[in-house]
Amino acid sequence: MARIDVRHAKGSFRTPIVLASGPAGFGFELAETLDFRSLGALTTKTITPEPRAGNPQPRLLDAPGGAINSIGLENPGLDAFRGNVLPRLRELATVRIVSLAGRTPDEISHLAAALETEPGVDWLELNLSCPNVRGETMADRPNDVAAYVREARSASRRPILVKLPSCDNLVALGEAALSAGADGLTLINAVRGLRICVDTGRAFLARGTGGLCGPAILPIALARVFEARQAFPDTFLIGTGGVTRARDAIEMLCAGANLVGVGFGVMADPAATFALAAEIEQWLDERGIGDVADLVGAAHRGGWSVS
Amino acid sequence: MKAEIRKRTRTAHAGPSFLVRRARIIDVRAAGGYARVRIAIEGLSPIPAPGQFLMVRLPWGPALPRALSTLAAGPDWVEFLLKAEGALRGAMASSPRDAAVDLRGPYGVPYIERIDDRRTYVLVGGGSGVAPLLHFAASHPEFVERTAFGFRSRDVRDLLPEVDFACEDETGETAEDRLSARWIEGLGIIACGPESLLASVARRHRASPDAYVSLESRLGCGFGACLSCSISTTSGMRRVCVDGPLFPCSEIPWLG
Repeated sequence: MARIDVRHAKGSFRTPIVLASGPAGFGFELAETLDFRSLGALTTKTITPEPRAGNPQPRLLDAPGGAINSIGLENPGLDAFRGNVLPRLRELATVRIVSLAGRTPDEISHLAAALETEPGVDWLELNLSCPNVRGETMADRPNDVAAYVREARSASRRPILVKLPSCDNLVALGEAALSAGADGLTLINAVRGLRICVDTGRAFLARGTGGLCGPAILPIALARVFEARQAFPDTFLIGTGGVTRARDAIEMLCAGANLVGVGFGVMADPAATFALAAEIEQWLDERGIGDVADLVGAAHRGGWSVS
Repeated sequence: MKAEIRKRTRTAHAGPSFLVRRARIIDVRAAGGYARVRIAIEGLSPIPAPGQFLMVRLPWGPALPRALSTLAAGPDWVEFLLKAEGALRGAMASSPRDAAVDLRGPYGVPYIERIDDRRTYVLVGGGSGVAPLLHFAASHPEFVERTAFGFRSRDVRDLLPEVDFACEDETGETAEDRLSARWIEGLGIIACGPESLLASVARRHRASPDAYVSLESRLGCGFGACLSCSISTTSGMRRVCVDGPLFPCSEIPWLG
């Protein structure tokens, strides 16, 4: 039987499959009937200091090969998260990555410090790339990224991931995050997208643009993960974007991801997402590959020979 | 007896199902811009109750499943009434017999668990919103005093020959007109249909504690996690998929 656990100096993961921040909520509904031991980790909805109602309806729209969403970081806020959500989160049989966003680096510092002594928070993920909120958490300059990460780093000893968008200065943003103390990168967030109603000439979504997710963005995510692995050979990477099948996850690993995030796939077919790890294990066994780690970055090494 | 019905319904619908089941379309009838689609599915459990919905996806259709409320359901079949437009509904309306379809669910709170069971109701429906109300009327006739249904085209009679409804292209009468004529003091209201109809019901009956609207927000996951369908209510943000689809008009101040 092939090894499918993923080892990291600051904690290990039972499988390479991670529920990405957003579509799975806090995992409670899924935990009623699905086995979280088939996951490597759950990433929570993004938490902000104060509660947020999110964007007005409609927030979701079909798009070729996926959907465009515009939830807008609806969440209960830090206090309710600590009081009502965390106690239940601690009971989930998987690693918990808590996603955080703030309007300023100080807010990130406040969030990270408040969670520092809370059990049940295993990793932090700084959401610096949500496409659905205006004028904030879109850290698209290296100095801004560094400022957010520095504050989080000084407030927390927990391992920190930084979620970045698909953009042409990705390597510069990644370099800034890692230099400021991040332990890894999550790539990519949903890609900004727009659809217009031809009957009215107006955007479908109440907020206009949203984040394109689903199989349509798989090749974009693969290219960004490949680019990041090339620039950062030893950095811990979560590859997220458009993965719905085991073969998509295997592509993501070959591009250089250590863990594979699934978002849209959980909305479309939750049970299939929870079966991905077993399918990857079977795929490895059929090919006599002993460890999922052997796949990570395989595309950078010329793949493998096929007999 | 009503209390027993509620208890039985609650027990039967405990716990969400995440399994996607492959099913077959066994009958499609289309008329007047609508389609009545019957699907054979093995081991549908629990059987959807009136007001509940299934997440439906065609293997060749949009990537994200769409929520459809049931018109009727049994242990190995389910029936929908849908407007024959849009990527999924349009494709279903023109599907060949035996076409594959994927179903997940059921989700949502059955109407019977939301309403005050000391009342009887007038059911108000327009277009495909009539579907869950017909399901409710067939399952719980003891709660239904009157109906006020409407469609634009008389051709829909070919799909629902047994149902009494107004046709705009016949007399100009709408579901709202029928509600005005048929509602009397003391009756509750359960409304489902286009937002204009729900807004009209909300404007006129918001003060009544027994006026309910069945909302049709765009659903993502269907089971309460993604928050695509969140709406603001007087008691905070609520998810249409797990807290609804039925809400008292008094809790939806923005409607109408």
